[in-house]
Amino acid sequence: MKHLTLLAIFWAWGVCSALAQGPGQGSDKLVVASLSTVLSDFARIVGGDRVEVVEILKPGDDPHLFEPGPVDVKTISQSQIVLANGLGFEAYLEKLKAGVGQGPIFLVPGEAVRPLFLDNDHDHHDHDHSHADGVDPHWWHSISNAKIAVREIREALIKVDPAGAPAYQNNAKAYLAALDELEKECKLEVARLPRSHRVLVTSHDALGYFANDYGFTILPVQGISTSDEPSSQKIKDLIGKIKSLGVKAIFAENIENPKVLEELTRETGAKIGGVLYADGLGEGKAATYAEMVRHNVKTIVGALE
Amino acid sequence: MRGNPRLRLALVALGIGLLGVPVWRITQTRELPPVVKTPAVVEDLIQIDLMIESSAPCRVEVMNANSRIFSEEVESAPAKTTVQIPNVGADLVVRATANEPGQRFAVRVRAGHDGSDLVDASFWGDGELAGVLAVSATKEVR
Repeated sequence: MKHLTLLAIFWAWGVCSALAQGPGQGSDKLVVASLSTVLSDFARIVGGDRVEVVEILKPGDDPHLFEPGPVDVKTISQSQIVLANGLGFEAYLEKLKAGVGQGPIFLVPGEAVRPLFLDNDHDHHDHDHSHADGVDPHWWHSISNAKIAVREIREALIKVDPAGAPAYQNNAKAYLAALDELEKECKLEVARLPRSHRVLVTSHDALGYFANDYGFTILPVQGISTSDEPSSQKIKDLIGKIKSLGVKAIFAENIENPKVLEELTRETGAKIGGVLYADGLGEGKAATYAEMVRHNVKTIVGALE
Repeated sequence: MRGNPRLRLALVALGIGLLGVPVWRITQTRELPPVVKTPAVVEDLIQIDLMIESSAPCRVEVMNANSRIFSEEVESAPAKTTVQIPNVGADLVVRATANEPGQRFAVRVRAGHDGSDLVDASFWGDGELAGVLAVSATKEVR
């Protein structure tokens, strides 16, 4: 009985201390907190066994509507590196930086890519200058940008943990080669579509970088954020464009209500081409960046062919 | 009913005939004209000349969308062909298999229109290769 009581005390102490501990405490792993499901995947691959990635934003969450709570802020402040997409994607980022203080390094790969700007009609254009207003923040839909992010993560990990440099370099090198192959695979897949069929009608304007790389025209239903509501005039115009271009399919996204898209299919005769992962990774078949890209490309090509 | 029985019979037959014709026409299944599927966008086509060279004997296949537009053995001499593509351009998929398995080889594909070069690209592989040649009618895009 005495032994059982002692065992219960030790068990309770163990549970309490585990709950009180922050991420990475009690291990010598470098802790990376991530506000992006895509960057979580990159950090896990490049960091390997030396890194613990704490997902603040989880697959399937809508990042446009997410704001970190007090528990998240505490977790972030206890990490060594914080990953965020940038380009205005995390509207709360500056506030979060101020709240967290001097502790972790904030790594924002979006600041290292060449941004796409949106005009008033939400068409995409290339520009050389950079600011968050009117910028499409969904940069990861270009594999070239993903490679930039992987290199940025590699350098940040080496800076914080120089002893792990050989491992980070090897992991990044292998993954960059895999991304080269993925890029080639996507080009071959998209080449199956005649250029006149490359029109993407999507729930919101998130695939501009993809469109830019593979010669698609985008007709978004919503604006750049999932919280933007389309006006009835915009829907009417869109129906006209879909009909005149003979668009065969329109696409829904994994994290929102496809009601408007259903209305469009009724009015135009186009079919729902499938669900795309626009704002980050999903669960199951799009749980990694490579799987997400493959899923999106195959869904688009399969529906528009 | 009075009158000549023959006349009555003729009138009844005429009545049945007059009623029967529309009924017969309604019940007949007529063959509908075939549904013509018009493409989403009617495209103008242009002719381009392709010249294909290889560093080693191989079989080369070129696809435009899902149509095969070239499939031949290419040896020391370059192969030439003329194909039609939409005037907005096309992404041609080039695939090749070396006669000798695993051999490092390259295939060079040049596309031209009206005597001017549009695009010139080389693809490398070990035994097999695949790549996309982006052809625009107005400028080099690759």
